[in-house]
Amino acid sequence: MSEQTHNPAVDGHLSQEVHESHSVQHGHDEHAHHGHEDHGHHHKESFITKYIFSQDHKMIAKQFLITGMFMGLVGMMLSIFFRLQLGWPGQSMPILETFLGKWAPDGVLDPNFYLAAVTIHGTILVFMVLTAGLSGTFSNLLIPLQLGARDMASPFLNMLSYWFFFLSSLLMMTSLFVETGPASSGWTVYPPLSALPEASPGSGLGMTLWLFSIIAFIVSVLTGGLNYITTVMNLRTKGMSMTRMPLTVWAFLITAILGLLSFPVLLGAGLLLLFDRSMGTSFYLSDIYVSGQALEQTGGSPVLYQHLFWFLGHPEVYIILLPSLGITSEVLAVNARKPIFGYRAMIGSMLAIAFLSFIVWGHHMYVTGMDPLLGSVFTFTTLLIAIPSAIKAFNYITTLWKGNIVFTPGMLFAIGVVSLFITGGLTGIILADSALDVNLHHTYFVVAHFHIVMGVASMFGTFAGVYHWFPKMFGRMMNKKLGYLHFWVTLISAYGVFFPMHYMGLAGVPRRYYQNFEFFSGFSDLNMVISIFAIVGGLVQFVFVFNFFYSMFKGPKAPQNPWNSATLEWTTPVKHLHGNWPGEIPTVHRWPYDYSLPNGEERDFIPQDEPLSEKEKQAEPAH
Amino acid sequence: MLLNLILFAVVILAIITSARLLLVFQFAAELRGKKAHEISDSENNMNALLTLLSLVGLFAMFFYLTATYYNEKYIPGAASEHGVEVDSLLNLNFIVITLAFFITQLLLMWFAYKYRYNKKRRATHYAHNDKLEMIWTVVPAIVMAVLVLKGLIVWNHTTNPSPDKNTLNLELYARQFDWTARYSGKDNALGKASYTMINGGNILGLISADAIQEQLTIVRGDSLVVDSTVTLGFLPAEKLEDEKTRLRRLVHQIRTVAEFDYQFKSGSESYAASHDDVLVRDTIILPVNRPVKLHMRSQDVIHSAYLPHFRVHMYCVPGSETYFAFKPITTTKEMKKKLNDPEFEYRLYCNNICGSTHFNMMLPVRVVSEKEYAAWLSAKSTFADETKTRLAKMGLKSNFAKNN
Repeated sequence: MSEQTHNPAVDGHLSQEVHESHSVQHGHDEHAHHGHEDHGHHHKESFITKYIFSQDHKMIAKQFLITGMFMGLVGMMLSIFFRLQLGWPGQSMPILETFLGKWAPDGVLDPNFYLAAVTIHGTILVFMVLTAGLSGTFSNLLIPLQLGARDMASPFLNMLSYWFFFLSSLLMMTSLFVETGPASSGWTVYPPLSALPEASPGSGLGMTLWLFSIIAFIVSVLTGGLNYITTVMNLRTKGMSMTRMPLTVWAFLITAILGLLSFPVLLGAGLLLLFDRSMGTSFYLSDIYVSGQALEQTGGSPVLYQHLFWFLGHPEVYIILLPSLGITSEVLAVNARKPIFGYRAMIGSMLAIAFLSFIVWGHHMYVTGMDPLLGSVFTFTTLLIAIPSAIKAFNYITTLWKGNIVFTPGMLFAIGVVSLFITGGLTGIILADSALDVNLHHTYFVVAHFHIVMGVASMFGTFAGVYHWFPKMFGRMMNKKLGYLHFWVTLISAYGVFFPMHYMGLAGVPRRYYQNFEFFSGFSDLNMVISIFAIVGGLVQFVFVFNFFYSMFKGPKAPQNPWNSATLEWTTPVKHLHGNWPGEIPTVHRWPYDYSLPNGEERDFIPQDEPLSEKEKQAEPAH
Repeated sequence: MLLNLILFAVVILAIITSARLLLVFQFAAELRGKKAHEISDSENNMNALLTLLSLVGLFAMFFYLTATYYNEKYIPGAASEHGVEVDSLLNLNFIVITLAFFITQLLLMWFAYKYRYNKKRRATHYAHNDKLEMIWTVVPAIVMAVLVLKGLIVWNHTTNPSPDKNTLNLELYARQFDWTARYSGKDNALGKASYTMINGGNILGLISADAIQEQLTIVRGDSLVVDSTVTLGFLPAEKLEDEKTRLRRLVHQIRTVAEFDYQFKSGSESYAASHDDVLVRDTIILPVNRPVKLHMRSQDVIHSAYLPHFRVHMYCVPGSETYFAFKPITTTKEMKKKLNDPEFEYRLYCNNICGSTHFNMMLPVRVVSEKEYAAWLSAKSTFADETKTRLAKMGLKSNFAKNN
């Protein structure tokens, strides 16, 4: 296999640029700088180019993270608002009126806004937080740093990717303030409900803003994804073959490919919906009688929208989950002081999951009236996913076996990811089965399943990443005691919220109900308990936010390589440079998981850029 | 307002105070020579112990919830033929995933606890083992193969029940935000319907000679009622647009209804199947042990007919008809006795988000003996009767005298 992946043209260009600017600087104040510490600081950066319209991947990563955190808090607050209604239906809560004004007259949540809150909570969490906030942050931060590249292949496109995401978030936030309320037909916005303003007030201006927000978001994902793929393919440093890439980068690469192949389909679905809404077409509409009028549209099919939506929707689940699993692989290996178990199997299973994710979308549609034969096919393909998932789970567990586990907050979250991935994944086996899904479709069982396996697990992956790479992002350490508090309370409340929901679902309690739980004997109490866990879990996130911003400015200074990690990002200086490495880009000589080799050395890791020792050279090249 | 301001100030103060406190702790730790990135033995031990405790907690929660909620009281056994099969498949699946849940969580958290950091120990460099990986590829594959196969068998039984001449055809019609059930009457055939036939009286848009006459009168009347300000040109542009849309839609509607009228008058369609149909809007009554084929339609947006006790669920999609056939096997009376709950009712829920009062869209369902069912149904007035009454009120004459 050729290892000529190092791209001399691009590297040469970049380093040339660095040299030129360096000499310019010398021209300005001769003899002032003799050292090479300023190597790479080739632009005089203003506040605007450094912090706002930055083209530095590290800054863009931070922009994604902080915007994602803000959106995450909005999404979380919405969930607490509707949990208040679900826990104590109809009871007056002044806090609701404080935050929501006319949407909670006398402190009771308006049923329409309840649906809007559910919708926007889902949209924000799925897209703005767990797609942009997660992939956007860590793909940007880690792909160049872990591969030994000076920046992304196209820093300009990268900047555009962030600003389209910003625009998308802005539009979504704006929709919260329009008079008829934000979109309120569920995050999947199934037409005709989402197409007809007569059917729901949220399907007016709110829905239009939702669609434009998502269109901007898709542009962001596509420009970002193109960049991630190109960078991974072309800008790996010398010696960094594909099979020497850390699993994080593998996960980001596969995620980007998934996004590139599936998001355009959502764009199509969204455009057709836009046409149906404003131009009188009937892609999704047929035989509808609403507010006393029979619409002219005939021949469309609302189920067509669902096919298009879930063709994105299912890969999207893995777009959310895979980066989190990639981060988990890395954080587990570093802190267990062991190589990840079955590196190649981990890559293989990710590829298998990614491939399968494109042929399982129908499992969201078993009860739409789809041909039962199709249901059988989707049951079969969906249950296949259990196999690569099982491989991943067991490989994670074996990675811990005979390790020497350091419980950093990041490590705790990574272990949490594995636990949640298993718990949530297993209930997927039931939902994948068309015969069983009939009775569980759209019940709390589904809510429990996807929140645990995709929502909370990915959120934990994000947290693991933030705690682990915070020193790389900000040059300071986060407070670990607050980190432990954050982890344990979040873990307990996450299980406390979502585990009981399985039982409600089995009893047939439908999701997205505003009240009427008395028909399902005795679940009112359980609903209250769930809400209490949700509120506690929500509050403790503020501890994280506090820790984050406090540590950014006041945290203790981070050393070069705080976790004794073998990957390349820790060879860059603590203080950020645009260009990442002051001198030459390091060359890679080994895979990223040389931990605790039985070589008689005191240190228990060997960085990737360290040449092979004589002894290693004689032995067979192991990886 | 003042209270909110005070609260806000308290929060800000709390944040500042915590930041100051944290700074003090941080200095103290630095003075004692502690490094922020190093995890002390006590921290490692504490977190390892908590991991072990959380394993116990997770299992305890599982047992508590299962004991409390996974039983007849909360999840009554299926009241339909295919539902019994579904339930046993569900139980099999649960056994498999519960086993996997216990084994994997136990290993995960036990390893995390057991191999917590120890300065004196070195981790074992153990990168891969093809045999082990083969085991956890093949074993899940075999288990999945069994589950897929069993699942598909039940799925087949559910979706392709053996044909039965005795099957009752019943329509569930959904709209924002209520249900109407339509019984097919003596002929056991549901009459044709069209959304253009819908009006205040004929909410399902059923087609019959009388209904056509009624609808033509109504829509033609509607088309004549034009806001007088339109003709005078006083209407704001936006309203004018609405009025234009309304009229355009009416024209489309009149054309369609006129086509039904032509079909009837030319004799190519009799539209007679709807005559004996019975519309019910309060309680759905089903005869026990007789297969029912549900025909589902929707007037406006996607709804979903969910009958959890019968393990029945199907979307109601505007523009097309969906089906679900099942056979109720337990009467409401028997269920009341079984659950020891005199208030018990089966229910039909809407289970696809459909607008503001989605949560209220439900109807009780009662399963009774064949005799009770027949008695109940014969007392109901038919669609033909109802239409005739409405026509009389409008001063129109019914066509049906001769037909009936």
